[in-house]
Formats: sequence, C-alpha cells, structure tokens
Amino acid sequence: MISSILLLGGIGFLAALVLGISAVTFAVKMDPREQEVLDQLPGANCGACGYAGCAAFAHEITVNPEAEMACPAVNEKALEAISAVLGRSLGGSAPLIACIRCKGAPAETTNRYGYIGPKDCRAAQIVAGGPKGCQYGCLGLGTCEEVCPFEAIIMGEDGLPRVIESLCTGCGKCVSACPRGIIQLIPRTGNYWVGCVSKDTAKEMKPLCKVGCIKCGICGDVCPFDAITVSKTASAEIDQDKCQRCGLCVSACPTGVISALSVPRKVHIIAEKCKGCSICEQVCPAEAISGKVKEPYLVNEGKCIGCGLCIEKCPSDAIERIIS
Amino acid sequence: MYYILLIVGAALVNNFVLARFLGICPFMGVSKSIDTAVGMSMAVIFVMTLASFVTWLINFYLLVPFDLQYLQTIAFILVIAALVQLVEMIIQRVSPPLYQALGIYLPLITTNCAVLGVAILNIQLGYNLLDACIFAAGAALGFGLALVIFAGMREDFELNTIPEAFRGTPIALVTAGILSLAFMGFSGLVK
Amino acid sequence: MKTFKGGIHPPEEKQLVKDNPIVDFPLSSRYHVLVQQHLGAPAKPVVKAGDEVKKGQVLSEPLGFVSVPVHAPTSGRVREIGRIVHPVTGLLAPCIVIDADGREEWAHGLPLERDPFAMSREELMDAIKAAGVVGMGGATFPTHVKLSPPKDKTIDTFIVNGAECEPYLSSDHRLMLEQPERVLKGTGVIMKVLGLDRATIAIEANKPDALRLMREKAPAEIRVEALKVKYPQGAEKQLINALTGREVPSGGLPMDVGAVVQNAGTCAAVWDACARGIPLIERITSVTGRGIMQPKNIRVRVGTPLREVIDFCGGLNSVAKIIFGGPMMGIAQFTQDIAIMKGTSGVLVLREEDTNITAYSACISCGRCVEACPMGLIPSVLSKLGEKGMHQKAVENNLLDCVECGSCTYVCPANRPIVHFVKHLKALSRAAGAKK
Repeated sequence: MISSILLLGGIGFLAALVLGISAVTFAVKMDPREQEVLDQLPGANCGACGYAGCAAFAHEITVNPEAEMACPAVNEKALEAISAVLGRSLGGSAPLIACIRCKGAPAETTNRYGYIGPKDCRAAQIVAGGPKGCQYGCLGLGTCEEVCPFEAIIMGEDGLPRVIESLCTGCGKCVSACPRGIIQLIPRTGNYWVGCVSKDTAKEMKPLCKVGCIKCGICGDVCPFDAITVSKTASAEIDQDKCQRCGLCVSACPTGVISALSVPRKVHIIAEKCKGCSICEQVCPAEAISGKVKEPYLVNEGKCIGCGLCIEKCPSDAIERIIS
Repeated sequence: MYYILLIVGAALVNNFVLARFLGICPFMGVSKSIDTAVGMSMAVIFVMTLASFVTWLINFYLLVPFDLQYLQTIAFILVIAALVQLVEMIIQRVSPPLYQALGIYLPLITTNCAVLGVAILNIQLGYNLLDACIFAAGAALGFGLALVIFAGMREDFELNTIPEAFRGTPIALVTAGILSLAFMGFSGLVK
Repeated sequence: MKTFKGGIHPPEEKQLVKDNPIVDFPLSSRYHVLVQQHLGAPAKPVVKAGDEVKKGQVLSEPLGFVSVPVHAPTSGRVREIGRIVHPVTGLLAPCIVIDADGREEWAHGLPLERDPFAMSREELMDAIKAAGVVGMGGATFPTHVKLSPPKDKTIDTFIVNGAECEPYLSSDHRLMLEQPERVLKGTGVIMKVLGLDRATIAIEANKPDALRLMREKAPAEIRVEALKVKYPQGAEKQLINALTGREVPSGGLPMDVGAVVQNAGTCAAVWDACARGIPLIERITSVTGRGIMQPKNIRVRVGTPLREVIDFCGGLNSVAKIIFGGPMMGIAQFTQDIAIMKGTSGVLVLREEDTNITAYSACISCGRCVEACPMGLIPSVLSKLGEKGMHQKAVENNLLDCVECGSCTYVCPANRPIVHFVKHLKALSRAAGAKK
C-alpha cells in the first residue's frame, strides 16, 4: 500500500520536476488575449480582412496596438467583446451587403451558343466570352454560391443568384469570384440598387435581354438628391452616399430594374403628438402629407412611398411606421 | 541481423496501425495532409522510443522488485502523459504552425493505444532494454510509414468525385481497410 | 525517324485539301481588319473614318516593343473604326472597316526591290516589325521579338516548322509545294538575322512530296529533316526535342536551349517584308472539313469576311462547329460575322458526326492522359484541381508548362475537357497574381 503510493507519487513528482523545468526552458510567449479574440471571430477564414485567416488576424490585432478592425463579418456583440478583451474601442466598418446587379434570368435573355463544360462561371467566361448573349449579364452557373464562406448566396429557381440578407457579412468573396463583376457591395443602410450593369445601348440590348436598364434616364431626372447617373452607354448607377432612400426612382422606372433590399413601410402621424408644424409636409418628396397649421396633419397612404424622411425631421416624434 | 528483423517485423509485418489496429485515432485525424502526417510521425517516434525506454526501466527496477506489477498501466500512462506534455512544449516552441496543425491530436498521443501498447508489449514479449527500444523504434517507424502513405493517398483522392454518402471519413475508412489488406502481403516475411 | 516522348495519333483527314492547289481569293468589297492580331501590347489605330488608304498602308501603330502594326489589305476608304467579334476572345474588339475601291493601288513606293542579304541586321529587324510579321502557325507572336533574344542567350539552332501536325490543315504543305523559294529565301534572311550559317526545315513524314521538293531546292546550309508523324510534333518544344534532343527547361523558352523556331509561312512573310517591303496582309488558309461543300486552300487577305469565304467554298453542308485553326488547338466560333486574321491557318467546318459533344464524367485515373502528354505533366490531376479551382496547387504541379495541345482531352475516356480546366486554372492564377 505505502509502496504503491510512494512509487506513483515518486514518478509523478519526477515528471512534474522535468515538466516544470521544460516549461521554463521551452516557454513560448503568447498573448492569452489572442485566443479570446480568435474565439470572437467568425472563423470562416474568408480573407476579407486581408490576412491569411482568422488566426492570423487575431494575432495581428492583439500584438499591434495600431491595428484596425478589418473583419467585416463580426457582429456588434463580438465587436464589443473584442474591444473589452483588448482594452481599446474598435470601430467596425459600416456593414456591407452584397447585391446582384442583374435581373436577366435565362427566361428573359438569349444565348449565343450552347456551352458544354465545367459548371463554373469563370470557366464559361473564357470560352468566347461566355454563352450569354449579353456580355455583361449573369451567367447563372453558380460560382458565387460556391465561393460564399457563409452560404449566404443561393441560386434561385429562375437561374439567378439570391443573397440571404441575414447571413451576408459583406466579405466580398463573391464580388471577386464573379467574372462579370455584377455583384456589388452596398452599405446595409442603403436600400436601392440598379439590377443591370450593361453598357449596351437600348437598341443593342433589345434582342439580348428583356429586363435590362434601357438608359431612359427617368430615374436620374426624378431623383431629388442627384444620386443617380445614367448615360446612353452606361446603366444607371446609384451613388449610395447621396441616396436618401426615398424610393422615387423605383416608382418612376419603367422597366422595374431598380431593386430594393426591403420594401419600405408606409407611415402614419400620431394625432395626439402632432403639433401641426408642417415640416413633414415640406420634406415629403411624394406630396403625401397635408394639413392645416397648428392642427394634426394627415398622411395619404396611397401616395406615401415609405421613405421615412418625415420621421427623421419631425421635431415632436409624432410619426411612426405602420405595422402591417 | 536480429535487430533488422525486429524492426522489419514491427514496422511492416505487424504494423501497429494496419495489422494490430492500434493508434487509429491520429491515423484518421492527422492524415489529411502529408506535412502534418510527417510532423505527427516525428512526435510519435520520439514519444514511443523514449516512453519504451523509461517504462521498461520503471517496470524492471521499480515495479518488479517491489511486487507492484498491478500498477503497470497507471505508471506507464503517467510517464507517457509527461512525455507527451514535454513534446508538446517542444513543438510549440520549435514549430508553432505544426503545433496549430496538429491541434488536439498532439495531447491525444497520450491516450494513443499504440504508445501504451508498445510499452506493454515490450514487457509481455520479454525483451531486454536494447530490444525494447529497437522494437519501439521500429513500431514507431511503421506507424509513421502507415500515416504518411495514408496521408498521401488522402491528399490525392480528396480531389476525386466521391459519392455524397462516402465523402470525408467513410471513404477514408474504406481506404484504410484496403491499405491494411495490402500490408497483409508482408505476412510471413519474417518468421 | 526522330520524334519526342508522348503524343497521339489522331486521324489526319488531310486528304480533303492536301492536293488542292492554292486558289487566289477574289477581292472583297469590304474588309474588317482587327487592330489586335498578335500576342502582346495592343496597337493604336492611326486612321479615322473617311480616310483614303492605299494597299499596304499602316492602319495602326504598335504600342511598345511586343507589338506590331496592321495594314490595309487593299486600297479604298476607311468606313469606320468599328467593333467586330474577335475570333480568339469571342468579345467585341476594335477593327478598321475598309470599303475597297477596286483599284488595288499600293502605298507609296511599294513594292520595293531590295536585296535582304545586303541589308544590316537592324534594317532587317525594322523591316520585319514594320511589316507586322507575326507567327503564322497561329500563335501570332511578334516575329521581330522572337528574333531578338536577350544578349545573354546564345542561339545556335534555327528550326523552320514545316511539320503542320494539326489534322485537316494543309496550308503550310501547299506553301512549301508551290512557293518553296519564298520559304527558303526567308529562312536565309532569318539565318542572317540570327547570325547562323545553318538551319533545319522539319517536315512530317506524311508530306513526302514536300520533303522531296524542299530537299531538291534547299541550298547546302539548310538541312531538310523528316520527322515521325505524331501530334503535336509541330509544337516548338517538341520540335526542338525531336531534332536536337534538348529539353526546354520548365518555365523556360526555346532560347534557353539556344534554339529559335519559326513557322514556314512566317519565313515566307519575312522574305516578302525584307525583299519587297510588303506587309503581312494576306496568308494561305485551308478551308476544310466535311461541313464545307468545296474544301479549298485559299490565298486570302486579312480582314476578309468569313461569310464570303464560306460562300466561295461552296457554302455549308450540315454544320455543328466552325473552328479557326485546327481541331486540336483551334478556337470554336459562335457567329459567322467574323473576319480572317493573320494567324488563321485554317477554317474548319465540322458536322455533328465529326465532333464529340458529350457531357464529361469523373476522372477514373486510367493514366491515358499521362501517356499522351508531350510535356510530361499529369493532366488528370490538373483536371481535378480545375474542378475545385485550386490554382495554387496546380501551379505547383507545373500548370504553367502546359502548352494546351489537347492530347490529353483527345484520349480521355471520360470526355473530360482537360485543356478547358487548364485554361480556367491559368486564368484564376493570373487573377490572383494581379490582385497581389
């Protein structure tokens, strides 16, 4: 009994001695915070931060006090946790979301030739510039779906890719994978984008695609904030910095090529709070609000486009979105 | 000559992984790439040989004289655990990428039945100290050989179009089985 | 008979045109001269709509060393600087559209009467560049660049490529049979440029008449050698290996082993450029395949519309593919609204039964492609890496040494488009390199 205890104890003690000495000799200086930071990162190793994976970025941001938060895929909670661990506040970059700038599903477009080969848009593009008649539109072979590390893009039944808003982190892998460059990252605070990047004139585009931008220019004309540029050989482009998300371009567009992340909800004025100051009537781009000064104003739901400018400007907090 | 046969026997004829089916855990877990397989093999060779040396000494100079053979398993595991811990520290210092790549499988060498198996087999087969160490070295070499061969195969067939149901571990297990069959060709090589 | 390792033996199918003498293609009313008809830096148009141009007049200026001009194939007026589908990329590319006036007036001073053997090396190189001579085997690499290797590379071997290993094509064959002097004299000029006193003309053994005639006409310093019939004997690295036993190192060029290879048609163009100052505005093209009613070898001008060429050759039979070049390395076209280029060695019209349009399946690791590959690569691994887009691993597996000859694709029992995978991987690799 005693001997067994002594024996095992003795071996254990010797082992501990050896290990203790080695721990000192072979000590590796590693910041324990690095592991905590790594735990907060998404772990998808998408490379959007510019480093070779989450571990490399965790190392950089821990050891380098000047390093900025470059990961687009961290959420608010993770950002707070990392800031707490490192003892400095890290501002995340404005979250971005991918949008697919093409509505040319196979049903609406023509092909130049029958493509036989690997089901990869990049591989198809090198065969005579791709099978699609339109040189700018989506080839529909699903490479964007394939490369997304967060499974946030899926190919729809109509043959076009669709972004799942809740999963997209704006890492940009799809943007570089698309050989036609039709995927664009817009701020999540933005809402509208033009679903076409074609540089063909309306005449050249007609036999190729039924739903592209015809470059009529109406959107550019109606935009009250000068946020849209369009020419005869360039599809409409929305400047997301200038866009106030009023949505007038969407209603004005004759082909419906401008798309929205979310359909804006209409507003209604809370009569008890309204002071009748008339600011909402003045800012409304759709002329949907009317009323008499000093009396509660009224929103014409039919005309309201849900842009929300009135909510921003109301000094009495008297306007809210309608919950349908 | 006897020692060569001992090594060939341990490494090929009675390969610890493919014939004795010991140490399957790191065999499946670390064989995804040849580089990590080689790193793991080095670690195991070191641990196996040194562990065999120390455990043989403990058995014949501590356990047997004091009639404590029943403590064999615990004592051996204690020694192996300490050695693995030592190897871990060394690798973490010498090659951090390898340390990251091996991940959890490094400490799992402790529970690797191949290491304990060699230590116990040395006693059971009645080898003297020199034989025990050479046997352990041969066993470790065989382990490394199986691991690297399997890693090479896995790297290659990962590119193939494998039916959905077989992707990942299933096809690896099937391949391991066929590799095992192949090594049966060595039986009878050494009497 | 000398040969190289690997390679395949596809059916030659040259009987359709090899005995057809070269026919002059009549003057067209409109030419579409692409501005980019060479590998390298683009060229800039120097004419505009409404300009009168003479035959052989410069239409575009090269930008940089690895660039060549294009010239007017006939006299007339520039209709516009338009766009036309480029046969190599399939995308719209700038082209100079010329309405012919029918007078065929040469540009000022042309054609000249010069003795190239009295000209200096620099004068010859200037003449070659000014004439827009490019590799006429199809690669269209600017000839003056190939003939100016860097000072540290000593050249001791010059090989004229008369192999014409692609099935169906016979343009070089007919050129050697009907105009051997142009080829031989051009060879002499290039020997002078390279400072060599001997050269070899390589001809595959399936052209015994050309071998006989060239041997008869060649001067002592030009050796004519017969090579075993095997595809791709006409690829430069394989030519060098078969004739000299030297192997161009991985990632290297022929100049690294002291060799320069030029197509027979290029040699003839070099002679015209140096002796008569005539720019590269026409070439010999084999219009062949069972999809065309009357296969012919035509002397056709650059910029000639394809539709006219097809009409001239009796129109289409039943057609599944129209290929510019040969069946192994040529580029399939999706429209007939294209024009002949400097590098168009053949227009191949294939019926469905002449092609193999099959969906591909998984690689079975049979190894046929490994046997066939003339560069000693493992095409099956490259194809699997291509399916996964793993371009870094592919580069480690010598992706960049693939000459895209198509031997592997030809033998694959699973119908895998291996060359397509290779091109895909190379494009991914370039994009990744550009991003850095």
